[in-house]
Amino acid sequence: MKRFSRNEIVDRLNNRIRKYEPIVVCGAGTGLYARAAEREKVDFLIASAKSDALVNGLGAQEAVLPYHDANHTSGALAKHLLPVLKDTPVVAGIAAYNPYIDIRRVLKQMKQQGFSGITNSPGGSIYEGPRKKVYMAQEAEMILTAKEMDIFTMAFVTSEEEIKAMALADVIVTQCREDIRQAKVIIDYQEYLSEQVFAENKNTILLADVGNLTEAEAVQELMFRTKALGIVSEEAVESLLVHEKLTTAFEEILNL
Amino acid sequence: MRERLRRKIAGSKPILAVAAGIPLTAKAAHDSGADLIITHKEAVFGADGRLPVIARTGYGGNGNDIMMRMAEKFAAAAKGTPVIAGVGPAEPYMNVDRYTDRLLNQGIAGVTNYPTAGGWVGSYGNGIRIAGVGYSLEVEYIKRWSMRGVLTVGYCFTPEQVKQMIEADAAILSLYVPRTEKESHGWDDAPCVESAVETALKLFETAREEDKDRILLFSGATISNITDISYYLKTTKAHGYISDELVECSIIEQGVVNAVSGYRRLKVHV
Amino acid sequence: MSGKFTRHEILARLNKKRKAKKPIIIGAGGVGLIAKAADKAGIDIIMSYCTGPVRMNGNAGQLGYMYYVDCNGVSIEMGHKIIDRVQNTPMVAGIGVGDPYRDIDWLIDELMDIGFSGITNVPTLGGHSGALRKSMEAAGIGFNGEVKLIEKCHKKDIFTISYAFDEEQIRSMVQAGSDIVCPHVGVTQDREFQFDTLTVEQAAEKINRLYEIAVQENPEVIVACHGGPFANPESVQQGFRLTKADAFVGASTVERIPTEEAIYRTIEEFSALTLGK
Repeated sequence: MKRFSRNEIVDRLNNRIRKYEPIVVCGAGTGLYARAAEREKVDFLIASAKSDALVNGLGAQEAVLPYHDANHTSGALAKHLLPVLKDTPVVAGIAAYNPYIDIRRVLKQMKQQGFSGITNSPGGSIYEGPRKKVYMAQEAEMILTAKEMDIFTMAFVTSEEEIKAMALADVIVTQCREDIRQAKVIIDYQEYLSEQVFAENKNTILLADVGNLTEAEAVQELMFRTKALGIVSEEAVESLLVHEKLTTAFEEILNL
Repeated sequence: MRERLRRKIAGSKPILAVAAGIPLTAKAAHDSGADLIITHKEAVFGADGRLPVIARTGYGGNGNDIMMRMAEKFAAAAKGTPVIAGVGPAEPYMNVDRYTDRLLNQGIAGVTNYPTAGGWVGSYGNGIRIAGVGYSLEVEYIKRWSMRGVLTVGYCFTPEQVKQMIEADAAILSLYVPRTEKESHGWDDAPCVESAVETALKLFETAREEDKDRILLFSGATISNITDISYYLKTTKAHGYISDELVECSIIEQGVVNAVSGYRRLKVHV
Repeated sequence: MSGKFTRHEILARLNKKRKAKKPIIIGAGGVGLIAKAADKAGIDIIMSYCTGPVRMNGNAGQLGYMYYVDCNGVSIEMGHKIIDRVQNTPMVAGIGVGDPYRDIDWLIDELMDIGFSGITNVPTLGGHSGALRKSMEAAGIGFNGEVKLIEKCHKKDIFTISYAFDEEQIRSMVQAGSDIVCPHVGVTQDREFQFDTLTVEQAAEKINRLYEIAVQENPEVIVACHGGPFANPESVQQGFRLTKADAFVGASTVERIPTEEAIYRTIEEFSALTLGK
């Protein structure tokens, strides 16, 4: 069970960048997912309410529903993921807008549990209107506080307004809201977002969230158009690809 | 439910029961048209990247608690395909029938005795048996719930156990095909394929002698080899197959490995 | 690394007893009341592990080794609940080395931090056979893992007790530094269940055999007798006469069984009273 400092993770990522290798980040909902991803040298893993929901058979849209305490769920993943990993950082998803919590205390707890970083998942981006501004401010503050505590930070951005707020994060991830499902829309929109991100800071370590894209060509196109240095895969790897493999195997038997 | 299975048997199509350690697998089982989903502490361990046999040996918490916690999620993901949950009949902290009532209220359709205490051998196994918390307790439990009309699956490893489970009216029997050395996962001392089939056939013969119409599924072979499954189906003439947690694990693992290695091959804009 | 009592303090107390030719008595404390009473009565060591609470709730102890528990979680919980009920006696916690969710080093530290003074290898696979044991040995969490646990604790200067079932096992455990080794002579005789147990002579023979191997590796090691026919003071006295063991480990024998007997007797006595009217 190894915890990584912020610099250690940033160094790893810079190493990939220097070698023109893609940064690969995956969601993990169980120890099996974590171990398998580590085997193929994933750069780090995400443990969030979404990671958990996906292995529970929920779709990405349902994964952000508030039917549980998101921070409890991601914290609970620690014992499932951390003991099987040898040398891979795990980033915990935190809902910064939980009104019951003191964010500093939550960050300290995540650090103690062995998480190496945090990300804004679920993010306030799923909300609209005036609430959204409040939540964004809270997420921005969370990222600032995390940095002070030497915790690696990754921020998902789904709209232009979030880009400035999350600018301080070590890694930025362009993401489409979960209800956007068409490849063309996803790629076009993230291209647009990435332009804004680089306009804000051309040295950003930018990743693109593949969403529900499972075709290799589509993912490659996403990377080219966004000029991202890598990808984040949650729904695709945890749910869609695994589900496909399982159903194929079961159908083969049923057809005997 | 039993009607559906009988129609399938009549149509000579194999019944597929899928062991699921995560609800996603239950969803995939439903989506593929599988007939049953079976979940238990061993499957949950396997899907979590842990050695499944440890689930039997005092680690990870009370399996019955784990089942209760996950029941609703499995039932929801299964979208109507019956979910059978493994229950330990020696439940130390609640009357096991009251527990089972609650479990069924969460959407679970039936119960099974897996992971069974029948796998303990030697003097410790003897101790378990004599203390009354071994296989015979499982048989009594299955009998009580079969009598209440609940779907029950009895896992059997010896002809004696087969007789007991048939007498207990288990709706479906899982008959064990011993594994070959490289697949052994804690049940036996691994024979070669031919003697594995021979041993399994004894179970099937015993079952058919007691009740020629009982639904018989075989479990124990790994899916990495669809030809193995086909072979065992033909030689045992089982009505179907239970894919166990090792199958689920290897598929999930393969899925993730393929995905990540694919991502590794992506080209970065220069 | 020390808990409530250091390893040296414990060894000093135990050796003092040995020198005075008094037996070292070690017992299981499945629940606070029992541990408290044993402590007051002058027991030498109290052990806390997974079978205790299961038994204290009236279940077969075997359940503590089966699908129903989180053995290390039980040790932690028992530690929290019982540690302050015991004033003068070192408490030893059981660790299962195959824990898929806990880091063993963290677990040792946690238990010592709670106030335990030693570690033992319970649940142990040493007495098991068959494919289940084989797969766990292959994964490094069989008896081989238990030996490593004792080694690890010994290196941290933590007091250890270990169970061993044959010559090879006892040799490994003594080499690993176990302070007390306990040749296990089978499931303990019981009033309720008809377990097959060895006779005192058979048990003594096994203990003597293993004793010789143990002291060859470490002449200072303490050898205890446990289980099988040693279910009451008479048989244990016989055991001490027939063997060179310096200690006795009683699980149910100093915990569940005397409690049950006392309750039977007391209720019978009360029931035998007559009314005055």
